[in-house]
Amino acid sequence: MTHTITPSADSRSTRRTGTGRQSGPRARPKLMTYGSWWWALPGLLAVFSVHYVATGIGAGYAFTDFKGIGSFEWIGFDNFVEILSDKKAFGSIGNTVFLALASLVIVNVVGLLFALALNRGIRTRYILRVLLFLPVVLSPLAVSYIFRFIFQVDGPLNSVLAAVGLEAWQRPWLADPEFAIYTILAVMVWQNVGFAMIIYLAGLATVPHEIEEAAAIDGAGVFSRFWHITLPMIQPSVAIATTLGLTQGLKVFDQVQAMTRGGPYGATETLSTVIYTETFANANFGYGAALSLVFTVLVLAAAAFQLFITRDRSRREAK
Amino acid sequence: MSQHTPRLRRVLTPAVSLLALGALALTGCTAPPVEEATEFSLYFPVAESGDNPYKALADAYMEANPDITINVEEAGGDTYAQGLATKLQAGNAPDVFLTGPGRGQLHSVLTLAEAGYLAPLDDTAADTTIPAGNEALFEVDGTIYAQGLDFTVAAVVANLALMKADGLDGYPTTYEDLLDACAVARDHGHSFFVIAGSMQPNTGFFSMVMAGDLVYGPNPSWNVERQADEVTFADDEGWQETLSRFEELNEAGCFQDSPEAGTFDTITNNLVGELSYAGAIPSGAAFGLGGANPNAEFVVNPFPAATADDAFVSASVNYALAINAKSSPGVIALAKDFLNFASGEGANVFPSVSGNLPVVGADFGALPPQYGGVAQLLTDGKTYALPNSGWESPEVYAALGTGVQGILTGQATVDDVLAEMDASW
Repeated sequence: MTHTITPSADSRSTRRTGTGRQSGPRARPKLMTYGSWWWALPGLLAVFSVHYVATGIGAGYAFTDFKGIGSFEWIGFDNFVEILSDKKAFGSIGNTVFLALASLVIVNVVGLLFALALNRGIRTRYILRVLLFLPVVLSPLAVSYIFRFIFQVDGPLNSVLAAVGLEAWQRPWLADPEFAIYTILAVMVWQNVGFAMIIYLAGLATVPHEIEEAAAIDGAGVFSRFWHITLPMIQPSVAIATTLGLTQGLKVFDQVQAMTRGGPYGATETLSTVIYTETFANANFGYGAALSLVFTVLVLAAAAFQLFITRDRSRREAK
Repeated sequence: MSQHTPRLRRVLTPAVSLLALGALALTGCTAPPVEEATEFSLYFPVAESGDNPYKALADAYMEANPDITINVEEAGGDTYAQGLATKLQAGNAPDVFLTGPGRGQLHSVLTLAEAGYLAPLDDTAADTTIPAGNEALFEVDGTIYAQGLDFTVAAVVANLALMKADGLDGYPTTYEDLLDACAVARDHGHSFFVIAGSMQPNTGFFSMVMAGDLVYGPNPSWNVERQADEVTFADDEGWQETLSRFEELNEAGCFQDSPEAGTFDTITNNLVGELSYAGAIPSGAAFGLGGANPNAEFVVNPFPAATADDAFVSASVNYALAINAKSSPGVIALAKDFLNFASGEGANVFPSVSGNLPVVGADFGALPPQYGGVAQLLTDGKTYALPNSGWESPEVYAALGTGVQGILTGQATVDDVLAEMDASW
C-alpha cells in the first residue's frame, strides 16, 4: 500500500538548487554546519597517493619489458598481444571462471540453506552458527595446507576410503588432472559457506515474522513464502553475498598455491597464480603487470554485471 | 616555547650560514679517507634443514676477527631472490649476499653484474674458487663478480644397504641394469627411485641429472650452442631420450606409486623410511639422510648411463657470494677480507656444514665414503656444470619441471615439453 505526499507551496519554494544553496524568498538560515568537503582532502590525498598512484605506476609496467631488475624499455602493447597467444593464460581464465562461478553458486545456496535452518526454532542455533562460521576466521593458507595433507596420496581421505572398502576411489587427488580442481573448489566452499550464512542471517533478521505468519494463514506454503516474501526482502543480502563471493572466487590464490601450485601441468592454474608465477618465479614483471591489468578489468566487469543483475528493483517498481 | 626576537634572528642567521658554508668548504677541500669499517651485513636464505652454512661461515669469521661484527639477515628460500632484487633496487641492499652462477635467476651473478649491482672481485682470491671451464658463469667482460662457496655434486643418492638387503650386488652401472633393479625393488615392496613429481625443482633436477650421458657429457658446449640458436631442445636427440626415460622408468615401476603427486616430504620419508632406494637430490643430503637413519648407507652415484664408460656427473659451484657495489669503500674492503677468509683459512667451514665438497683444495682421492660412487668421475674430470645455470631464463627450468609432471600424468608428451622449453628460452 502506498500513498503520495504532495509538497506544499512553501516546501517547493525552499527546494535546494544544484549548487546546494537554498533558493526562494523564504530560505531559512542554517542552524548548524556539518562540515565542508575540503575537510576530507588530506584523507583523499592519502588514499589517492598510496592506493591509486601506486597502482597506476604498477600498471605502467604493463607496457614495459621490465625483468625485475635493471633497466627496461617501453614496448607498447606487446605484452597484451602476447597474452592473446598464451595458452597458459587462457587456460587459467577458464579455471578461474569455473572456480568463481561454482563456488559462488554452491556457497550461496548452502549458506542460505544454513541461514534459513538456523534463523529460528532450533535451540542450539547459536552454537551451530559459531561452528559454521569458524572456518571463515581461519587463515586460508593454513586451511589449504591442512587440506593438502588430507588429500595427499597417503593422506586421511585415501585411508578412510580404504577403510570402508572403497579402494577403487582412491587416487592422487592433488595430482589428478581431472579431480585436482574439485579439491580446490571443496576447500573454497568449506571455508566460505559460513560467511554467506552470516550475511543471510542478517538479512533474515529484517524479515517481519508477522508477514510470514499472515501469508501462512492465507494458505501460502513454505516454498511460496520463501519465494514471494523472504527472498525479495533479503535481496540486499543476496547482492552483497554474491558480489563478495564472485570477487573472492575470481581472486582465488591461496588455495591453489598451497595445494597444487597450479598443477598437475597447469590443470589448476588460475589467473592469480599465473600472475604470481610470471612475475615472481619467471621474473617477467612487465608481462605479469599486463596480466594483472587484464585481471583487474575482468573482476571489475564481473562485479559490475553481478551488481546490475542483483540490484534492488523494489524502489523503482514502487514509483 | 621561547621565540627569538626579529633583531636577534637577523644577527644569528648570517652567522650560522657563514659557519655552515665554511664547514662545507673545508670538507670539500680534502678527499675523505676510506673509513675502516668494523661491521657489514650478510644476506642469505634460511637452511632447509639442520645448521645454516652461511651463518657458520659468519660465526667463524667473527671468531677469527673479534673486533668485526657481521649482521646476518635470513630470508625464506622461495622469497630470497625477489627480496634481494627489491633491496638492491631500493638502495638498501645488504653488503654481502648469496648469488647463483650464470644467469637465468633474479639473483644470478651475470644478471646482477650487468645491472651494475656487484662490486668487482679481481683483487681477491675469488678466481681460485671458479672451476676451470666455468669462468663464463662468474665473469662479465673478463671481470669476476662472485666467489664460489662449495662444490655441489648433483647426482643420485642411493641407500646401498637397502639394495643389498634386497639381493642386489650394488648400484647399477648401466641403464639396462637399472631397469632390472627396478623389478627387484618392486618384488620386495620397494621402489628404486622416489621423485617429488609435483615439485618442479625436483623434477627439473632429476632431468638434469639424467641428461649427463646423453647431452652435457658428449657436448659440454650444448648451452653455448643453444645460446647461438645452433641447437634446440626439441630437435636434440639427447634431450628427447632424456625425457623419454621418465616414461620408461614410470612404465617399469621404477618410481614410487603415484610419482606425479610426490613432494619433498615424500622423498625424505621414502629414503629415511627405506621405502625407496634412491632419489635425485643434492649430494650434501647424503649426510643428513644418513644421520636420520644410521642403518642406511647413503652413497652419491651418477645416473646409470647406456654403458658404464658413458657416465658423467654434474659437479659445479652452485652457491656464490657477491659484494654490493653501492656499499661504502670501507665496507667493500672489509667484505673482500671476508671473502678471502671464505676461500682461505675458512674454506672448509661452509662445505663442512652444507655436506658438499670444498671449492678450493678438494682432494678427490680422499673424499668421504658418501662420495664413493662419483670419486673416480670427479678425478677423471667427467663432470659438467649444472645445466640451468647457463639457461637464458628461469622459465626454461620451470617449463622442464612442470613438463615432467605432465609426462608422468600423461597430460604432455616429450615433444610438448621440449617445445615449451624452446619457447621459454
